[in-house]
Amino acid sequence: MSEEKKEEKKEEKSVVSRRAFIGGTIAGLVVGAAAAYGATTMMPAGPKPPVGAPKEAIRGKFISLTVNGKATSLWVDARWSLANTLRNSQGLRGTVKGCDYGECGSCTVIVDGRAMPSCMVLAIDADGRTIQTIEGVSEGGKLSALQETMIKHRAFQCGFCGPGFIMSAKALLDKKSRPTEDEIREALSGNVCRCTGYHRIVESLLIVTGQKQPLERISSGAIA
Amino acid sequence: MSLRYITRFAHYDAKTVEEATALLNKYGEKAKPIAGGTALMDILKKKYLPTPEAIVNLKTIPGLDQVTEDGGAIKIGALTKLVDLAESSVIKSKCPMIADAVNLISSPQLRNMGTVGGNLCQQVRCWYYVKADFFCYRKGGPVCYQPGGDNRYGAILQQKVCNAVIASDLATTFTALNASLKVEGPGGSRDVPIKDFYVTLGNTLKQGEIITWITIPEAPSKGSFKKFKIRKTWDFAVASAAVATTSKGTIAALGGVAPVVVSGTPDEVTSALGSATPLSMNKYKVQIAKTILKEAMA
Repeated sequence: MSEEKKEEKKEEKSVVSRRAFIGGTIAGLVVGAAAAYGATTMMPAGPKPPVGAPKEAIRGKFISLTVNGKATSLWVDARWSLANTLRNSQGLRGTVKGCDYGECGSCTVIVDGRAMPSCMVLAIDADGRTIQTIEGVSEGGKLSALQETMIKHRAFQCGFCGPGFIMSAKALLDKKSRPTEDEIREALSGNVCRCTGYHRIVESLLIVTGQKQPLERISSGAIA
Repeated sequence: MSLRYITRFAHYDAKTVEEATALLNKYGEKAKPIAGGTALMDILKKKYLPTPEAIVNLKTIPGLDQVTEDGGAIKIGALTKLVDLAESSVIKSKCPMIADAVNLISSPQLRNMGTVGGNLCQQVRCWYYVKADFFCYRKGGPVCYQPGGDNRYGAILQQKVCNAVIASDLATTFTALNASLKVEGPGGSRDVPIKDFYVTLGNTLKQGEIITWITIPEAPSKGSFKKFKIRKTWDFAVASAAVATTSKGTIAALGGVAPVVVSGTPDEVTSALGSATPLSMNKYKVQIAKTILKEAMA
């Protein structure tokens, strides 16, 4: 009898300790999240450099970026790519990560007027740059003409590559208002569409630049 | 954040060439310079070479991103972006073959990032070399895996200990143009003819040294660059050929066929191809190289 009681007590104790443990973990998580959330405004302690590393080594630093016309200052780890920083630190999830090796172009953003795969840029190297992401393409809450045409013309099927294609296309159209088909294909050659919808994508660019008439069934409202 | 890919490193922004070379010299083998970053990010993520302890950012060095004309010579800063090189008015008017070559390198997005110096110093793209699973001879391992493995893109000439082929298209072009590289390091600067820059297992840069300027002594009266690639949009060269004619004669250069650029007079290069020693799966490359050379000479 007494043994049974003992066991019961033991169990209770273990339950309590488990609860305490879980509670502690949650508190820790909350604090961690708060620290990450506040990273844009206050400086965290930062990771400690390993023993033996020279003191002037930079493991991360504050950088200033102009993202979609808004100037921000944020702390970045030296290892973070620009794609990760935009997605996780800035909350701009429109920049999608495909291959993460600069081969598929789905993470393309416009840096200082030039399209670049953001997974291949270290965020720490982008200090002081002006960046435009897919979130900055729409004008006043309305989709841009380029996006509208691409949607109407069914340029994308699954749409995963869409943000990358739109950013590459925008970088081209910002530089040249009436590119030829060859120039369009060259400018988009760094982007990969696994649904192989290239024809419609190039066609919608020709339509939006006024070099081709949209299909009648699309312009009349009856979508293809 | 997905930090599982990249191991921790120290990051420096170098403000001058001296600062950069001093830092690279201090860390020795364990530091890597970064300019465009298209090759280094690959190493950091795929880990086929050890992650460096320190990365020295060269982009913050001012003044090395210009293309200028100096007398008859063309001087190209090593930090010039590939897109700027192709769009430079000096290159377009004096030496359009460089613009042709640049426009065949990689995708426009990556050309917006990559620099001339980085293109010249890039790693080979042998698929055993760029996989972390294979510890090949080039990485300090016991053996080259190509002769006993899949060698369809391997070297057809000058195979000694490594059968990887040189990946840089600008190396081929600059060799045909008889360029010289200004290399700066902790022991001062030196000029290296690009012919002597490449060796079988990489290049002759010593510890702490970086390329700062590329000088093309004379704009060619006639020159062309041709590249054969498997994928139509963009790819590394199966074989590339550059031929340039100046007052001192014609130089032909072949890339993608050997660990180094094969160069000489057109006759020398053609005869070298005639005595090619292809591996088991890449006999087709001999004919491609011959044809691409003929096209470039036409």
